[in-house]
Formats: sequence, C-alpha cells, structure tokens
Amino acid sequence: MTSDAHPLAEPARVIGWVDGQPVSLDLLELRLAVLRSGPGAAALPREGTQEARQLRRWTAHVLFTELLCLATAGRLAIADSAAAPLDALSAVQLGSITAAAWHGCPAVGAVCRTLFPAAPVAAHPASARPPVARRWFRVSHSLTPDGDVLVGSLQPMGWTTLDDLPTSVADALRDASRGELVGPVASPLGWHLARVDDIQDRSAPALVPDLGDQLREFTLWLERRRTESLSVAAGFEHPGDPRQPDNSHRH
Amino acid sequence: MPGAEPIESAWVPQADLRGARAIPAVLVAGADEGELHAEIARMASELADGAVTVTCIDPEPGTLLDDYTVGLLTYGIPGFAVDTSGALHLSLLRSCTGWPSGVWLDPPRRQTPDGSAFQLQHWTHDFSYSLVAGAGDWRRQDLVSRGLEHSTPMLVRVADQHGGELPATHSLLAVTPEREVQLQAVKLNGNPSAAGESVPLDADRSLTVRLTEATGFARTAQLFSPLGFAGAHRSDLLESDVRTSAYDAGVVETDLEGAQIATLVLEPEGTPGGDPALGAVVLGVDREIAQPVYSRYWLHNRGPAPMGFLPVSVSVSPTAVRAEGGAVAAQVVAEVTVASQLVDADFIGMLTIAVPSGWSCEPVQRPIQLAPGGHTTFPLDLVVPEDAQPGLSFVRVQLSTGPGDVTEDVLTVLVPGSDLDDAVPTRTGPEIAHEVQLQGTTSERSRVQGLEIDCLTTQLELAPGEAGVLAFRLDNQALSDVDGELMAISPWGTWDLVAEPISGFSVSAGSSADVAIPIAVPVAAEPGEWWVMVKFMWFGRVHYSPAVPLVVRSR
Repeated sequence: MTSDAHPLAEPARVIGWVDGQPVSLDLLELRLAVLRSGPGAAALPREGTQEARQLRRWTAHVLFTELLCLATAGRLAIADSAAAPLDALSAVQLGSITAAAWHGCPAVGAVCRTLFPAAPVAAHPASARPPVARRWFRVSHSLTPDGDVLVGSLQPMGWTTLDDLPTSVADALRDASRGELVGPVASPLGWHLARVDDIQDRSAPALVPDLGDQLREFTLWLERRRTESLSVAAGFEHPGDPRQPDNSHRH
Repeated sequence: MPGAEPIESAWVPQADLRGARAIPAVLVAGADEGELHAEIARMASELADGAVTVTCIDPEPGTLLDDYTVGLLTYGIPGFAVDTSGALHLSLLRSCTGWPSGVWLDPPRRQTPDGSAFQLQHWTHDFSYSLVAGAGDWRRQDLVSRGLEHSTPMLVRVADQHGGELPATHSLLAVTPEREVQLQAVKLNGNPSAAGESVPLDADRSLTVRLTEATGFARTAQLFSPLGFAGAHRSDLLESDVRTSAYDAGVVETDLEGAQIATLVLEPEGTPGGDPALGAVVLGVDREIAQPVYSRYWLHNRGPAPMGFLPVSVSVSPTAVRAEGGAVAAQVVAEVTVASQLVDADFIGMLTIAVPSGWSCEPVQRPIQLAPGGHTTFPLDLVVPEDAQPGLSFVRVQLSTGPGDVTEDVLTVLVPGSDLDDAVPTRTGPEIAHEVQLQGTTSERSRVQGLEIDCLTTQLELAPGEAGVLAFRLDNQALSDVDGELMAISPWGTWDLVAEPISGFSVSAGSSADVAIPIAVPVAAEPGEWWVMVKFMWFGRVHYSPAVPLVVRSR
C-alpha cells in the first residue's frame, strides 16, 4: 500500500485503487452517512475529531476489503451465497475490518468458503460412531467424619456424571441401581453414604468444526491481496498504520 | 585533541556539535587499515579497567578536570536532571490530579479532610539525603553500594547483654568481594504456588540467591556460610534451569561480567537447626486473614489474587437474581463451576451451599474430586417459597480448600417489596456521558447494598505513645449474615500507627455490629496531620468510609 501519487490521481474524489480501479469518495461518504443515521450513531465519534478521522479510515478499509473480495468473486465466478454470521471468537480472529466486511458483503464469506473450504471434522475412529451418551446420576448423599451415618441425613446432591466425585464414592455408585443405598465408603473427606435417586443417559453435544485454520488461511490470503492490489490515497491509510498522524496512543 | 572552545561554552542547549573540534575528542589513528584495527583493539582492551591512557596534544583552551566525584544518595525520588550550569534538580513528589487517581469513582464521593483528592499530600514531608564526595570515579567511591546502604538502613534492635558461644559478629551468608558484588535476594528455591504445585516449600530445600555486580567490571564472587555447601549451580530468573556448576571442593564461586545479574542455587550442607522447642515457626502471614475468601476477589478492587493464588476456585453464575414468584414459589436456576489449576495432585474437598431457612436447594452439599487441571459444572436449583420475606438474601456457595480455608462465591437473591429493591436493579440505568463519567462520582450517598456503614469517629488526635480506635457501626439490613474483609488505608508515613490494617468482619442478618480498629502512635512519632479511611468489602460489594483526620500532637 502506498499513498504516493497514482497516475490516475484525483485527490479530491478518489480514496484508493483496487486492482488499479479508482474507488470513489462518494461510495465512502454514502457508507458513513448510513452509519451516522443508523441505530449506533450515538456511539460514533464527533465529526472533526481525531477519532472521526480514524472511523473514516476504518470505513474506507472495510470498503476496500469488500471490493477486493468482489473482484475475486467476479473473476472466479463465485456465487454470492449468504455467509453464516461469524461467532465472537472468529470475529476477533479476523479483526474488526474484515469482520465488518464479512457481515456487510456476502462475497467476503463466499470467497473464504470457496478458496479455503473447511477441513472435514477429524475422521477419528471415535467420531465415526454416533455421539456417545453420557450416563448422569441424581444422587443423595451424606458425610460424617467417623462413619456413624444415618440414612435420614441424606441430602440431595443434584446431577453428576460421577467424574467429579471422590473416586471411592463414584466407583461404588457406578454399578448401583436406582434407590440402592451405597456405603459407608471412605474418602479423605470422611465416610460417605449415598443413594442413586435417578439415572439418565444424555447424548453428548455434536462436534463443531473448528474455523480457526480456515480463517487463518483466509486472513493471509487477504493480506497478500491487499499488498498486491490495493493502493490508498493520502488520508485513507489503515487506521492502525503508525505512519499516519491520527494513530497515536494517548492517555 | 582539545575542542575549539572550552567544553563549558560548547556544551549548551541546541549546540551544534558536528564540527570535528566542537568538543574534545580522542583520535585513534593507524598508518594503514591493519594498524588502525590494531590500535582500536588495543584501546578496547584498555577499556576493560575503565581508563584509557592517551597523549594530549595541548590542553588549551580546555581545562583539565579534577578526578573527583560528588554523589547525592536519596531514598528514591520520581526524577532528577542536571542543567548546563551544573545545578542538580530533584523532583520530590509526584501526584496525579487527573483521571483516574485525581477523581473518586465509588459513591459516595470521598476526599481527604482538606477537600483535596487522595494523591495530593498537603502536609509536611521530610526528605533525607546523603551527600558523598571523594577522589576518583563512582566506582572508587562505591556509589552503588553506598546508595543501597543509604536507602536500606540496617534494622536495629535493642537486646540485653547475654552470654553464648556465638561470636560477636556472625554471618549466615556472606559474599566477596564485599560491596562490589551485592546479594540482592535469598529465598528457598522454587515457586510451587506460581506453577500450581500442591507441595509447599520446606526449609530443607536448596536456596536461590541473586547476585549483582556493582562496579561495572568483571569480578569473581565467592559465597560463604557457616552451614557449608554441598553443591551450587548457576540458574536463570525462574530458578528452574540447571546450568553449569558453581561448586568445587566446598567452595562456591562464580565469575560475573560487569553489572551482571546472576542467579545461583545453593545446597547448604547442614540445616540451621535452632531450638527444637520452638517448633516450625511461620514467618509472616501465610493465609488470608478474612475467611471465607471471596472467589471473585477482583470485584473487591483488591489487587492481586488471594494468598496462594486460588489454585482451586468456585463460581456461581448468575451472581444476582430477583425472585419474583408472586403467589407461587420462585424457581431460580444457577450454575456452579469448580475448577482446579493444580498440576500435580487431585483436588478433593466439600462444597456446601447455605440458603435462608425455608428455602430449598439442590445440592446443599457435594463432595468434589477433580483431576489436575480439571473442572466441573453443575446446576444449582433453588426454590424461594411464595411466603418468603421481601428483602435481600445471600446464597453462599462455599468450597473447603484446606484446613481452615474456605473459598466462596455468593448468589444474591432479591425478593422484591422491601427498601432494598434497588440492590438488584431490573435493568441498567442510562449510560452516563463520557465527559461526566470522567469527573468521577458526585453522589453523597452510597449505592443500596444492604449494609449501612456509619463512621463513629470524626477525628483521631493522639500524642506519641497514646492509642485510640477508629470505630464504625455496621447495620446489616439483609436477611442473611454478612462476612467481609476490611482494610485500613492511610498514607505513607502512618503505616506503623495501624498495627493490623486488615481483618475480617461479620454482621448477623438484620442486626448491627460495631467494629473498632486500634490506632497506636509510636513513642518516637513525629507530629503531623494525615488521614485514615477504611475500605469494607463483602460479596463483591465495596464501601469506603470517610477519610478521618489523623493528627499526631507534639509531645
């Protein structure tokens, strides 16, 4: 990216060039006008401030990102199918500019999905089977230091997979049937008496494919694309570019 | 080669020093490139002792300086500068009057007794310095070690004359060359609690020592102890790396570069022994004074994690609910998580949940065992009966984490219909404009929190040797007991007036309790005017008392 004078320079009307094509200032002004009349307008920085100039740069780069992806989609005939909205983690991984472009322009997500298809969920032998059901136990329980336990003192302990109980108690309960009294069983805490009140088999949650690798590849591709095919006019440098005057860290 | 004009007139602000003779310079020359490199290497080797001998063509117009050093030893100041006239400027105090230190955030607004912000210290301050001077440079004057000796005065105790076998002068650990190599730290080797290890340090473990070279020149350090050494090795900042041995036939020795900071791990041959009748002496505080320990300690604006870094912690989510059942019992569902960051041992402990009488809860107690790094999350089902008294109640989720140590999180339940409805608001208030927020709070009232705290002391005026108390009345308007922690806060210079600045406090449901913090003025105290305030913390809530004037009269 450079801000040097471009052969087609029209400083007043052009904010940058994507694949050599000028990007009109009107497009950016329209974007900003939409933002400033939208529901979040009250949270935007006041016109004329350093923060407002940073917002202007940020919006310009959202626009550049969209145009870079639209150009690629056009060249490769990628259809604009609506992309799934990003979850919070993915949005953070992409950064605010790319995440905003993703949500504002279907071509961004479409290019990502087409160029970097999600890796299939690991074909681990275990995942070939349907999700394993976990057995949950509803347990009543009492504890005394000396083993002098009264059945009447049992109190409900709630649902547990037994994995978070003292090993000796869990082992005794695992094979118990509904209503069966177990114990006294010793643990470092004292003597336990327990009863299984209910048993349920609950299925494990389905595996969610990890977007991390896909998004990382997409980000690297986008960085290359920006380096090769984007030049910006003076005043529209990246908001995080330390060479531009509004990117200063102040207390 | 002298400068074209005296250095005093050349070395001025905005000076242009680019000219070859702008300031005095040493010229290194050789007949060809090889000779020049040899000359540079010779000069570099001479620099190892800090002095280079050169031939001066003609000292005029410059004047030769005396080889003499003047140093000002301080206790630590924010900054200093020497101007072109040679005057030394010292900044003595530095205070922030802007955001966030200069404004007050937690209602009600608090200020010092004279109405200023807490970083402004409008009283008499004493500063002590030592002016030292002598022939030679800072090394010959031992300025580094003399500075440390000035700012770290020896601790002196008056003891009765007594007999015994020990010599008049004795050193458990000594380093040579004295003063040139400084012993900066001695500790038992290892940091188990930082790594989540469950085994505490024991006194038989090896020692970590940190040495610094104070002259800027290479030195060879030796360490001595009447215990003798069975081994020693060089290590790193984290004390875990075992590098080369620093031990040979009973002698611990290591080479140090100029100004090097080195870490050594020593294995003492014997143990100090001591009087077995005294048993194991715990030095200092080894557990939190206020129990139970609130697990969301950051809400208490309290700084670092509780002692031991809470390797096992408990949390309940959400932390505050309104139980609005109306004519029927209200069901409250929360989630309890217990997580262990221990790396080398299972955690096993008992979780108990205390609820107001008449309410039902599942679970009420639950034994927990977690593998290293493990965690568990399970539901907490609470039923608030339809005839529950309106007001503020606390459901306390407590985990025993060791003998006498309890970590807890608290679920606040509001049954609407009392004066405390604002303690759990139905929705957040309107956002305050940024500019207004920056001014801090202007409120004269505290938030509705269910605990009213009145300061009963308007001023503490004591003579040296006298004692008094800072008294508070705590009125618990909630329907549950409150257990919290208080900290007395007062400025530097008054800390030895408050012997026990931290303690726990408890107030039963619906009742009042008085809290008194002893203030004792040492006999040798200087007169002055300061302030003392108390910060109360409970269940994620914070209240600061007014700053009470603390006046030490002259005798």
